Amino acid sequence: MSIGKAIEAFFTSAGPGGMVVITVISLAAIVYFLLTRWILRGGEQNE
Amino acid sequence: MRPVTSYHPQNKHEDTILSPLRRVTRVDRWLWAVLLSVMGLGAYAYSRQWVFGLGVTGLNRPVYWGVYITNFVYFIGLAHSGTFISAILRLAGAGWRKPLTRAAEAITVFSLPFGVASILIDMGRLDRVLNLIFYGRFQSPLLWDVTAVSLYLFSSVVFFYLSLLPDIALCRDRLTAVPLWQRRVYGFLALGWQGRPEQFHRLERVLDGMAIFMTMLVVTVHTVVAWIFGMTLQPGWHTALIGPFFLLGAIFSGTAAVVIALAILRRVYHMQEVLTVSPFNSLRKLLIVFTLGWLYMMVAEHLTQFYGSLPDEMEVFWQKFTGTFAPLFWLMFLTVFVLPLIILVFLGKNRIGWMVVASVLINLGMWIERFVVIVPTETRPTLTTGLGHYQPTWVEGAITASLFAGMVLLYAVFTRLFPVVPIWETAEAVEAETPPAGRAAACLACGDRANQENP
Repeated sequence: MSIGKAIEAFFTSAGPGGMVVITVISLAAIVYFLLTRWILRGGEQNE
Repeated sequence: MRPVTSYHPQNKHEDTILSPLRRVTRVDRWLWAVLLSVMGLGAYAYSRQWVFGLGVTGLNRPVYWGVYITNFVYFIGLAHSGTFISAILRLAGAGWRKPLTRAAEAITVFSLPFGVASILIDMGRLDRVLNLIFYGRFQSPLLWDVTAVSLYLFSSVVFFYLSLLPDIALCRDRLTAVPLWQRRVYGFLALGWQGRPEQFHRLERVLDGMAIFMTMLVVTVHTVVAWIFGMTLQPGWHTALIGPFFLLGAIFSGTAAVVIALAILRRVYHMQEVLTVSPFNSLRKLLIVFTLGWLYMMVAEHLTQFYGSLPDEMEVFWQKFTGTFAPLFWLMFLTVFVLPLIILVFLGKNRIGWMVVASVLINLGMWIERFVVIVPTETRPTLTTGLGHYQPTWVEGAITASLFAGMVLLYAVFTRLFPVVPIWETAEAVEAETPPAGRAAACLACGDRANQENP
């Protein structure tokens, strides 16, 4: 299958849209969790 | 968990800001009871819709979208207030925004869920939302909308929570006389925050980074909301202007909502010294600009339609200007543009009461604007036979009232549990026990003035 066909299939097939939503939200959750942990650990080594 | 040591920026208004958190008054309880009653009425109306279907509403063929979708667009627009005040003005370095950010962000966080709820209510059957997850195609703007709004809601909650974190820790350490459950909530939500200079430094960096991301999101979200309409070939909707027009309207109504919320908080919680007239005047200038911007978009859209003179477009056009929807259209024009502009320019300066009047009119008008954008096109479709008619029923009215009551209830309860003015962002100095070595870094949290004093 060519790249163009694959991209078209992504947009026109039933199903992958929902996966995109779940992937985006999951990635955001991971990033926000890591950022929050990084903030809270600030200055720990100086104590 | 309370840390062994914790440092807090000094703020001379700390007692005033924390005062509403120390007790819940009888008036609060009455207000909450009334709002809960309205929500109960909405729940009853929704149960009727659940049992008898969407037939109990005014929705019919070909008018599939009415008050519910109007509410959806309105609530999503209202949610842009927090991002605009907090993120965009943060990037612009506007120092006057600092006392306003918390109240604005709270509007975002508490209005977005009701925008989402409006969509779910409009679907009739809640289980249909699963079809989007299991069978969604990404060629559908509806799916872009689900993605954008979900990410916006999630990111707004995180942005709001992170900027609240130092103040939650302050509540944990200062409010020792409040009920045990309230102290436990502060202890849990503070995540062990100690107020170390490096923590403040990192928090500022993350909030700055998120402000850029949130600004991008706010543009994306409302453009995508507009594209639900714009990507169809329906007259009045299929225009490239619809995205920017929706975005401007969203920030416009959101900023007006911030004025209303701040004025109420200022009066009810006696915060005249904290929330001075000066930031209100800055908001007033912004509102004047938005009012004129709204007129520009309105003229650009309708003049383009008029010169094109496509028969289907003109059918909807004349429905708005002289036909069935003319009373609503001109009421919208009066309440969004004419009256607010007169009030804001000639009466509003230094007078918060007049600014609130203008802001209420703007929000009323912007709700009508969404209705006038959506319904006339639905009643004059190109693809189906005949003309449509739409008359909202009491079910839609009760559910709409309950959505607004829910938002106000969440907001009111929030103001009794957390500081509505950011204490750390408006602080003028660091606490005496902060280690001298960390003072410069801690000043990052104390605003521009402190930075100038401690270069």
